[in-house]
Amino acid sequence: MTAVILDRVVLERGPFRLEVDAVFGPGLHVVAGRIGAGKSTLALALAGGLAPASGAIRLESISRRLWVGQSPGHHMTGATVEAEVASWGLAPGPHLDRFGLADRAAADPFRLSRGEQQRLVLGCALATDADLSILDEPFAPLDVPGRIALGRALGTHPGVTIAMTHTDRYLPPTATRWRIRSGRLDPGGQ
Amino acid sequence: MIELSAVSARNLRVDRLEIPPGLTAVIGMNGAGKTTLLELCCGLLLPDAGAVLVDGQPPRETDAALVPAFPGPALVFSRVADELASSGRFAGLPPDEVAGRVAAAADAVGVRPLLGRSTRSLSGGEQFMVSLAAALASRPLVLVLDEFDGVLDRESLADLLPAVRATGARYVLLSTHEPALAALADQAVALADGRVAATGAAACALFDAWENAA
Amino acid sequence: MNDPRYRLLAVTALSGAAFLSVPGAIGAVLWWLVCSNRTLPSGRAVLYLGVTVLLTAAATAAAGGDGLPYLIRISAVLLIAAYAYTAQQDGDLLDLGAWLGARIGLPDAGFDLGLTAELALGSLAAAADDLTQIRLAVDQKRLPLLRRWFAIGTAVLHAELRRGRELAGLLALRGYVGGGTHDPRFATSRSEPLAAVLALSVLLFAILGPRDIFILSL
Repeated sequence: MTAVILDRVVLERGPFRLEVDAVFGPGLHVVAGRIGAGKSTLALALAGGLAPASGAIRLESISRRLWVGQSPGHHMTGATVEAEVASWGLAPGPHLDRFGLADRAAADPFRLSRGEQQRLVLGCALATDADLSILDEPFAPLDVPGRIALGRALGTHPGVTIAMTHTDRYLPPTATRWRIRSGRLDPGGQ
Repeated sequence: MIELSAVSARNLRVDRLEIPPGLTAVIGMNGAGKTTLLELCCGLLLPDAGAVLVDGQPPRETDAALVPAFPGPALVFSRVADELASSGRFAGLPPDEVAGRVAAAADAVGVRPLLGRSTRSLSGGEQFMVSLAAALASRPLVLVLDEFDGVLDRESLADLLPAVRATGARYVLLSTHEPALAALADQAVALADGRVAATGAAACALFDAWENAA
Repeated sequence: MNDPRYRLLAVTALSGAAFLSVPGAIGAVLWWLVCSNRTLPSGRAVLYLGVTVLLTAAATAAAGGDGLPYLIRISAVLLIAAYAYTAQQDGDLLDLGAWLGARIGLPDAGFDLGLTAELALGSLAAAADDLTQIRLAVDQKRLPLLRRWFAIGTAVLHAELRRGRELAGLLALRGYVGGGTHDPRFATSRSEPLAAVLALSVLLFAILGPRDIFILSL
């Protein structure tokens, strides 16, 4: 069964410390928490970008892992929007229509607004059916229609999807809630 | 009153818009022109045509502050205290007065515990709070918050909003995608395709329209 | 050393000494052993630097030049540079700039210098953070080597340019027109002036040479 297991993991970054002992199974998980709680740090660790100070992060039956950070501009590698979609291994045509970016196909991805870049990156990432998707504040730059679309896409996305966000208005009801509180990740929401 | 007359900038075209003092929410879809409007009101951007006046003066001649969308440019200095002190120091104020402003702003936003920290060690959300405190420390007439709710959770927002109102900034403009936040404002301006689509209650009603359309 | 002024004096003197002569280099290393925090920066940069220095020294020796003295002197210089790097604290450059400017009667220029230095360091730190994230993002696409490097470089460039533009706007809005008031307070421990004097002695030793020093003391 696909799962991400955090076995008595302790993440440290300077003065910051987060303890996580949890299992993320298939489906949508939403991690909330106050400012400075450590959502981004957890996301980075899950993506393999930060080694735990102790404990182990184990990936079970996960062959493809994806991480989308808070700056969509960090993900742009194509010379045009069309090339960018292609760089994810996707056919540009139908996907650009879905993202509402068909009229920007020849544009330089760095010239898009942050909201447009976010639609582009998230759209591509979610279309690539990764076994594990980690999304750091995916709703933040999106407008209301974008948030509604994202909420829907998250609800039907296969594999393990972990979204760090406090925006809960557009989340599907099937989401499993988690919360970072006092330096620990606890199940349950607010 | 903030007055825009016959303004043209980027994709924004405004015939006439008046923004009274208080908390104003600017809403609209991505690309509608929210950031352009906000930057015009604080003087960061000059219009290609037309005039923007804040209490009869161009924004650049008043004290204005901007807290950019997250993740923003982060911070200028390596010490949090220096960041909050910067506007006072640039103005040539004596160190005691600067220290007073720093303390007041830090308390208003709740970042006193962070004052001795290195800006590089802060989380993204903490950097935003410091950026907000630095903006407040400049005692602005116009305070602009771009995508204010981008990274703040509900509790932090609830704590911050009264503080933001109480700063003494005559005009506080913030852009948001959250209907709940827009409802808390004194007035709202909705933009669509670079034009003012609605103001007041009609603006907030647009949220329902967007949600029902999807 | 917590006081950046004494540290600057010591580092300058010791770097000069280490560069000038082998006795000076040895003196600098001794100073480091006695007066410093004795920490080295971690990471592969140290390894790369060490290998580069060794290779250069070997090449110099092979070409008939003085490889060993070069190795000793440059290693000492790098050691002092490493000390300056690890001992640096937040706000040092702003404080130093403002203090120096006030001393020489150009307070605004000093403040601007400190501010510029802080901005430069901030850009480096931000670029390093962005680089970590960008590499993580780009590596998810499995691009060929050259395209990967190009993509990473472009993304970092865009990120830093955007940051620079936004910072400029921020500074303008905060009313920066050049200069600013800043009266830094330095926490000087009692041993620091002594350490600085010792560093100056090392420089003197390097200039005069050991024989002359011993003649002077007779």
